[in-house]
Amino acid sequence: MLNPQRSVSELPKMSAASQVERAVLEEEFNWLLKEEVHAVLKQLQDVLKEASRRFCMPSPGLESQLKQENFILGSSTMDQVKGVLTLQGEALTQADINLKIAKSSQVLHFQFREDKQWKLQQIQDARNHVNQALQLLSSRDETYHFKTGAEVNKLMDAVMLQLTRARNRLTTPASMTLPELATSGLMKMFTPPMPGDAMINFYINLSKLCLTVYQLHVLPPNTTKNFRPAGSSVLHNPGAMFELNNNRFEVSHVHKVECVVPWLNDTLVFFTISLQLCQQLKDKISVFSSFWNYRPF
Amino acid sequence: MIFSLWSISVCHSAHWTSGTFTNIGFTLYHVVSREMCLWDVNDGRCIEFTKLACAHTGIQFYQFTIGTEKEGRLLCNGHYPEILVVDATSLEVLYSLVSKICPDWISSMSIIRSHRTQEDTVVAVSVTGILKVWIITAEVSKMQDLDPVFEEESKPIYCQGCQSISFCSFTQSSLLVVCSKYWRVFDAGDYSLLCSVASESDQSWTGGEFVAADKVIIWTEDGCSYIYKLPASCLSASEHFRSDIGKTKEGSIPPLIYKIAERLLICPPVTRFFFGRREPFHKLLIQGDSAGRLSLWSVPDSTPRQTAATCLQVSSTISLQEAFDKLKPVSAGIIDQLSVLPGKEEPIKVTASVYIPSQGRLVCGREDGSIILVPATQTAIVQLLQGEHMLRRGWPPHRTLRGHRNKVTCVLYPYQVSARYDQRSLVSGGVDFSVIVWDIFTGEMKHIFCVHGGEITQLIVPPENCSVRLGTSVLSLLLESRTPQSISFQTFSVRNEDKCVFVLMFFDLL
Repeated sequence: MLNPQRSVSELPKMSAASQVERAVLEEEFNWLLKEEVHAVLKQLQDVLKEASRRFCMPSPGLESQLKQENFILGSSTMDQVKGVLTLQGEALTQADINLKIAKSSQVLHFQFREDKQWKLQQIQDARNHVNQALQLLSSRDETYHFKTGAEVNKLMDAVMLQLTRARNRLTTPASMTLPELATSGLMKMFTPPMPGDAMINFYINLSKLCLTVYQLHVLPPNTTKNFRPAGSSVLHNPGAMFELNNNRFEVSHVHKVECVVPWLNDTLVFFTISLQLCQQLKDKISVFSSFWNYRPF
Repeated sequence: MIFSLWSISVCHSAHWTSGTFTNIGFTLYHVVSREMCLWDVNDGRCIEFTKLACAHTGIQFYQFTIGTEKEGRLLCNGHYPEILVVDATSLEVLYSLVSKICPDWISSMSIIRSHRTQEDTVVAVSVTGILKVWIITAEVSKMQDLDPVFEEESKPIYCQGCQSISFCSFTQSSLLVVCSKYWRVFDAGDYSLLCSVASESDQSWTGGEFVAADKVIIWTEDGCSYIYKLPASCLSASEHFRSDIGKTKEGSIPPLIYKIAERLLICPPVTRFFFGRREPFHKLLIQGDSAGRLSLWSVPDSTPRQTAATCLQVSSTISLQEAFDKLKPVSAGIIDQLSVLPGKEEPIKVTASVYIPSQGRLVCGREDGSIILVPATQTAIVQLLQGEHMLRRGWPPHRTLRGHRNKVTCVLYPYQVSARYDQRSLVSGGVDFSVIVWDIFTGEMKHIFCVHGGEITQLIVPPENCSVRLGTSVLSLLLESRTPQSISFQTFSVRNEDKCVFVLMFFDLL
């Protein structure tokens, strides 16, 4: 934006100088589109391929070849709940859970029924988002010529959207209502069957695999307590109430144990690095956009 | 139709994806905000609106008849491992088609209508390249709130990144699956591979359809389309049908007719093949692109004799800009008569505006930094009706507010959004990095805030139940400005005569 207070005699000099400046800027921009963009895209592809490898996407029919990892979930201070979960790809293939019911020293033991698996949708969604980002990048390899900065911005926006979604899937577990938890297929997967006064939920939070156990007690019909059904939440608190099949329940105890999954941690780091790379490339492009006022940019 | 669709885009920003015509209107799905809207195409009203928990990437309309009643359903697929069946009128999810084997996101799907039985088929390909088939019977379609429907068949076809799947309505016996690097034809009976054609190195397919029993059209990301003639092994009528199954020979199918589009496009155009079911049975390739251009090609039935491919010329094309330029009389800007400068061809452009119905006023911010307040009805009369008013200079009566040094980018009348603000305040933001609060009745500049961050792009009033407590009775405006890296965090508080305190908050995005 020209300063209107400059003298009129300086205008021809300024326009000559700005012509030269413009030519230099154009050359810089061409370098950016030809060389720098492809270098950054290659870097991005490498990082995301590493992330994708962590998810070890199964080929159909070969799921059994995925490696199995066991995670021990427990708390050092309390031992009401202890679990050993086996994660294979995006599903829990086995869950060995020991539950100590309050007010008794009895330890209950549960396992998945034979051949039953619990799919962690969060992991599948994150993996699919990463693959979509990789597909976007692979369509723009070294042989592709970017002609405008807007094309690069559009590509970066699309990749960043996929990566943000992938990260959100891992950081934001689904929030469910207590009746949804009680009627979920997970309750029917155990042997011996889950007692009616316990509910279990698995989810991923950031890089941690979490197991939550809710202990319930039935509210007698003539109770003096004010019944307020709880809404949906990732983790319900003791005192939350709900109604199911004409019975009213209240959560008396909540136990949560977790364990870090190292490869999920790696993928989160890769997401952050990739998002930074995308944003930096967008910033480099935008340095030029403020000069190209009249080009069809 | 161009005009009526244009008038529909009311308050939603870009990133509309999947849209489909239904029996009563047009459904559009917005990818970022996850909103689905049903519009009436006759008057542009939004009939139904719903916000969804999941992200869709494809919507298809499916209509069936129960007795004499026509029922509409929307089949949606997206970033979730099933296909949702939604009522087309109420936009409620009725039930879903799920998979027992390898449940995963669905890339693309197609509905195959059966003319003989009451069973329609949904064929889909998942992101891991598994073909899934569901049967929707008339019973299922009638009822609501159903248990999920499981798949009939699940077969790996190793087509990852599937862009589209379509059924041949001419032969009723083959399926075309288009992925970005190749397209394949499968037998619709047992889903065995009949032929596979890879793309050239710089092409990226985005979709395709059958145009005849032996021809397919495949279109690319940059707007080109290619028509291929299928080999005899793909045609059920031929004696060589299914002769290539199991062989790994690459199809040496020559491109038959092709059309090249040399436009510079920012994003891939939308391409569709239309086959008219009534006289005169048009076969049209329709393409709409980001430059606002709609183009039509008529797909011929005949096969040219040359061995090399022929270029197909566009049959008709129009763009929004051309349609607008053809208008007679040419539309004028609402305050053109006040914005014309001597010696200049174009009047000063209006760059931001807000209509205040309670006062019958229109506030227009212009590219030179001035803000004009005009009575809305009189201004409209000047443009639409002839009369004595045309002779009066300086009509309609207006007030000019000067304060911004450069283009005004946004204006906001906060009282219109929430009654907790002062009726007199009018707020404007510009590219000169400043936000000005005006008294709309006297035209005085009450406050000017110079933001060190950058150009102001938006002014927003927070919702009613959002409380920001900074001192007593604090109300705030949020504004967004554009800088290379971040927006600095500063607070300014201004006390008006009575109860309104403006707190402008700028958030650091580092």
